[in-house]
Amino acid sequence: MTLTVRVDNSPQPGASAAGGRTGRRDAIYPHRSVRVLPLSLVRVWCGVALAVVITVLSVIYAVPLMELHSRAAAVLAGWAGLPVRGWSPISVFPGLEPASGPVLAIPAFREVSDGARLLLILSIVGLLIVAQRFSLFRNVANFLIVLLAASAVANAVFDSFRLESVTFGQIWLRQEMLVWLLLPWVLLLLFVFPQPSLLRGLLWVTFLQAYGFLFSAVRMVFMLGVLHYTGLIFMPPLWFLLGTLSDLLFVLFFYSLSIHRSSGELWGVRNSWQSHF
Amino acid sequence: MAVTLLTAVSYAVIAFAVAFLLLYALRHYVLGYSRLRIDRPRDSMELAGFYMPRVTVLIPMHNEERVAGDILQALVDSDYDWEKLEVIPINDRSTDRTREIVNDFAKRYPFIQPLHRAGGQAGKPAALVDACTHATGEILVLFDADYVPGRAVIKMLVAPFADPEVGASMGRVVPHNIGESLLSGLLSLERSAGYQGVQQSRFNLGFTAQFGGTVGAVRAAALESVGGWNPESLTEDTDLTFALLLNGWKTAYVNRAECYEEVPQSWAVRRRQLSRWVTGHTECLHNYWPDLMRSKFLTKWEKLDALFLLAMYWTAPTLVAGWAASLLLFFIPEAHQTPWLPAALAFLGYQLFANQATFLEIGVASMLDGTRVRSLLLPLNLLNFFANTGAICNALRKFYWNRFWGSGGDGWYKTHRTRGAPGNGFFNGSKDSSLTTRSATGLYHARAHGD
Repeated sequence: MTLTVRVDNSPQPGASAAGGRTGRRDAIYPHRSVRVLPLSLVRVWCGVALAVVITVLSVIYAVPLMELHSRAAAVLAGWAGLPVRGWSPISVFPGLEPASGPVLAIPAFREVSDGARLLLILSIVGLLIVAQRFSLFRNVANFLIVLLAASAVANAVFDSFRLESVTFGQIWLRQEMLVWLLLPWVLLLLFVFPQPSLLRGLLWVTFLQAYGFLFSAVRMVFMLGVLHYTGLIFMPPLWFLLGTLSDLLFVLFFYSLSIHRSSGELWGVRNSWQSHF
Repeated sequence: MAVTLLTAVSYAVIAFAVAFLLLYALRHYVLGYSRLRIDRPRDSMELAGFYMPRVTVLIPMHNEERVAGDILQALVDSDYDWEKLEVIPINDRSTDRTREIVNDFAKRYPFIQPLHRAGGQAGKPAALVDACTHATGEILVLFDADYVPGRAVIKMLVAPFADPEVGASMGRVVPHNIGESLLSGLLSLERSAGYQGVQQSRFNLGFTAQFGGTVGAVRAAALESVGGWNPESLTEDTDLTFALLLNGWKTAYVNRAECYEEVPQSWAVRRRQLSRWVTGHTECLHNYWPDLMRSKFLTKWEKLDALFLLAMYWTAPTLVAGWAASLLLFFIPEAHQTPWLPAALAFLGYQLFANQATFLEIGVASMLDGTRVRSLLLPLNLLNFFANTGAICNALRKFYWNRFWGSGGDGWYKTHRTRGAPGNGFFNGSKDSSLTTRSATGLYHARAHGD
């Protein structure tokens, strides 16, 4: 019988991705306890440069950016058949030229249709069922019930409580403007610095910044629609779900995809003999 | 006037919440990046097998018939010199077949010396106090009964004790029931971040690793020097970590010493586990923070790190207070006129919901571990986060209520085990043994199933 031994000295995927430094013993599959992924200066400079460029552009072109956002929202509102009566100038931040806010009728609590009140009851019942049946969702569901109940009570008791659509647009743009300023830095920390491919990281940042901008317009129009048809009842839970939480969620969603890909290509596929513990 | 006051108070609460949570976010980023770029993770693997003092393995057990056989078999298969090994399964008033299983092993292997407790205080800390009076080892190694140590884990855990300043060592906990439920999958990501990320990073930065009470070892002399286990504590491990720290002992982290555990598969079990950790941890915060601040052994960074660790459960009520303040402001129309409201809302939202930094840690650990499929669960960790927030707030409420009114808190209780039925354990071909197989050479091999 002949025993053949084949020695494979080709570099491991992890070694090249990590600049040839994977802790100890580059030649074989590195155990996870000693794996590292050093941060190169090139990566830092490229990432920071992109974040600075996006931030500076967002500040310089803040007004046109918000105007573009309003136009995108207007197109979406048209597609959705929302009866927007027009766009009124709003002051988003002191010192900035005004942007446009949507003019849309928002009914007071006593003016909302019975359908909206029924939807409120159904929402609370639905959330109660979720809280009862899915323990992991219980706290979120309970929190949303509290928000709905608080909103219903506040609307019913304080009849004077109103939120004009223009004011809503103003608050929304203020919030999102801050998000757009913060986003490149958060993306930098999640997608560029810690991941193996610099180019892909930079593309992620650019893509997600644009995505965040459009996603904001979509959410704003959706909330305007809810405001128009149901008044302010659903605003607190919707603001909770579709406000900055949504911004975080879409970042996390794409982050998990990028981690999924990086994990697969960094250390290669392990053989059974490499996995003993 | 009242509205103005309410508005001012709400802004103050939000400002505090943002500042407090920002500090924690900063800590997460520092630890995450620090772990990623460690040029050579601190470990003692070169010494594993060369430094082999006499060791006593302590395994507290209470009704562990489902798992007792597995851990004892794993220890029998350990490559540690039997002449220097003593295993004490502590049968703490079990009413099932635990006694029988333990005695069966003891008959076959002389280094297994069971301790059957019939009375005294219940719970793991009290059982450990009893067992220590029987232990003869220079180093005490601890495992919970549901853990399955690999062959070399004892050698690895003992290696750091070659340094006479090391008082304790801690290994890495890896869940094996990751595919049993959504919660166990999410918790496995959390564990990964906690050990592969935070523990290794803190150890490398020169901070004390946290002794976890299982997959850990403690020098008998060090334990004696700090007065032994605290039988009153719900988290005797955290208590010991800080007692050792204050007395000048180091706790080493051994990332390579991996041991498999069963994480909770249902939220009810998880909530109780979390509640015990929160209570014990916060108790340690109140017991140790004045001494920590006064300690002459510790640098200001070590003090800061220790405070961060002890106060970490305070982030949950802080966040909830911030949410409540935001909700109040939403219903105050006057507050809508100032641009600071959305700023506050945005920052709080960013802070929390959360702390993308914690997700960075999970991502870093997943990448280093080569976790592919489970990394897709990352966004769902928000659910875990919300669930944890509620459970932590509730546990803290109970803790302070009991502290204020002097009533007794929750007692120690054992985390529910879900591994197979008796005789259907880890190595016996049950569906739960899907993670490993034992080869003819005695090595445990991970099965090729991606994550």
